[in-house]
Amino acid sequence: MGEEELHQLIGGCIKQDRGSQKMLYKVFYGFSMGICLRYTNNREEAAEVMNQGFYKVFTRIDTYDRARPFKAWLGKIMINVSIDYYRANLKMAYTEDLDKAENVSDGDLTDQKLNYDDLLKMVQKLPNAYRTVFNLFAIEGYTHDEIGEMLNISSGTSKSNLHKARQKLKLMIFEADSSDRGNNYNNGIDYSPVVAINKVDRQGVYFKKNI
Amino acid sequence: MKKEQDEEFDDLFRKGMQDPVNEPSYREADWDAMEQMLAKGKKRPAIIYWLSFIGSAAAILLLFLGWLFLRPDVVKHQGQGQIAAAHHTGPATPPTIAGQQKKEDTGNSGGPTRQPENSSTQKILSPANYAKTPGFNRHGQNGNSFLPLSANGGRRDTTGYASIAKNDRPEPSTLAANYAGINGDGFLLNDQSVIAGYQLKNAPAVSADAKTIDNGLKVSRIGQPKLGYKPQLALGVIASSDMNGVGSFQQSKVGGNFGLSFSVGLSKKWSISTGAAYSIKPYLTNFNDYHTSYQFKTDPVNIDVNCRMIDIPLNVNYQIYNRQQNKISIGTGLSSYIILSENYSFNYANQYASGPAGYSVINKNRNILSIANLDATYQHQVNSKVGIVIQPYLKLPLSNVGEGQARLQTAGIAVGLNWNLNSSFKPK
Repeated sequence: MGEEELHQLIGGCIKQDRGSQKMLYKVFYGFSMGICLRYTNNREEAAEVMNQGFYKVFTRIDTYDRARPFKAWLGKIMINVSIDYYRANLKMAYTEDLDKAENVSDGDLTDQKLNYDDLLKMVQKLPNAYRTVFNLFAIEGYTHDEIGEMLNISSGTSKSNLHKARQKLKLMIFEADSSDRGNNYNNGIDYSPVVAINKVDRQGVYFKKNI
Repeated sequence: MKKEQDEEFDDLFRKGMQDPVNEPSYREADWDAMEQMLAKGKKRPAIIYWLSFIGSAAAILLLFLGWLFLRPDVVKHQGQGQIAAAHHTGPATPPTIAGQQKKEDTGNSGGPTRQPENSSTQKILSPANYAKTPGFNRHGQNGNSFLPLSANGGRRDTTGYASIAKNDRPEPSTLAANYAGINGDGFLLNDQSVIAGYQLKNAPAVSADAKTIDNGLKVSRIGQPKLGYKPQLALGVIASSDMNGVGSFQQSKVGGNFGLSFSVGLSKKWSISTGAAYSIKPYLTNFNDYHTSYQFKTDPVNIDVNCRMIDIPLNVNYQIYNRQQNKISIGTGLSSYIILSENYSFNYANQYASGPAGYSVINKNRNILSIANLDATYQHQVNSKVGIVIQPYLKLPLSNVGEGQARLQTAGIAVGLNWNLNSSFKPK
């Protein structure tokens, strides 16, 4: 949407106009939900977290600095709320059997077309701790030191979790490849494939991206 | 090599997951849930805090009522006219407090005088007797110094007080301790005066103490009131819950107060009141409204502040309605804040940005008579002594508050219990 329109919407939200709030919600729904889905286990959890994020947005919209891009401000709030959610649920976190992930070599990954849905599913399958670190490092672009501060862990733990997250994801990709070889990967959803990955070679051939 | 591989792997996910084409589709149910949150968010804080403060106010009321009904009744005073005359014959100007003088004289100077059968004690108070006993004059003056005397009248009002052995009489200091701000010396004075009333030979002792007694009478001295008007004095306990905000009430937070109030009626409609309340004021201030010389690396978005202070108001009230047991008045005045502690907690846009988390300031800032008060009071008299008070109020800053120099404004409602210190009586 245009700069002017967004400006108007934000003005309406400051006045707590429900119509403007709903419009803003709809416009940034996809973007916000996309962030929250990555940090949660399923759509329902993500919706709850996202709404908490939007609640903060709507109640603190008058603190938003209009000179800065709105999407970045919104994104930061969504990430923070997701991390709060993660920290709140730490007590209920479960530890998965992660030994398998350790043994997957850095070989070429399967020559598959992995769409958004697949990638999301894989990320959601990760244990909370690994998933959060992976999101923050690989997708959000924070450093290990910053992640350590945010999650109250050492940067060493952050690095270790990241490594384990990657290993696990690779394993998932491999398993997906071997079990679904030849099947219609799209599962009926018409998404265009976004990546193509090389064949995995268990003998340890180096990973090559084929895009 | 491995690092490159890792980066490429990460890119895979980053690009895949941030592709706008693949964003999740909108669900109306999610907006419905959001709308409920927004609607609930406005109501919830006020209700929750209200309940806790109403509860504590109710508890205080119960305690007070219980104490009121369990202690002996205060008996009405008479014969005030005689004392007034007696005062004029006394060598020194009696220290008086408006309204107190009359009843205290009769009640305490000569011992209990309410009952007509105590005419003997009344004789003691006549001008002729005063002339005979110089010490008696003093004690006569001194007999009427403090508000709480009426409250404690119960003890001294019992006939035969003088006959109680001195050691068994209640210690003046403990009696005085029941009343905030009352000077123990002044109380002691009254005891002596009662004794002197019965045992004139103690007069020298009284006069010897008169100096200390006089020195002790530092509690507010209002000039001798004209006869015919009976200024009402009242002591109250008050608890309140309020919203605190900076500049506006949009981002306000709920706080509470608890304290004492004291009011003096100047005329039928006008009165002044003061008091002291312990006040907890949390509020949220935008960084724009926060003043500091500290240079932030990253500016916080806003700051959570929690202030604890003593609020000392000084208000003038005008009664606009008074019928039967109900009274409505409006008031305005100035408050002083003695800030005991301030806690500042910085909120950054990125919640974990590097920067100071916050700081505390203890016992530093004061705002003397620089907060404007506006209030309306509804008072319902339960009996001649006790009244229930409901008071919505607004406090607007005339100067900046606290270390962060915030324009902190407050709006809330107080509930309290008022107790009339002088019972109604008719001058002779």
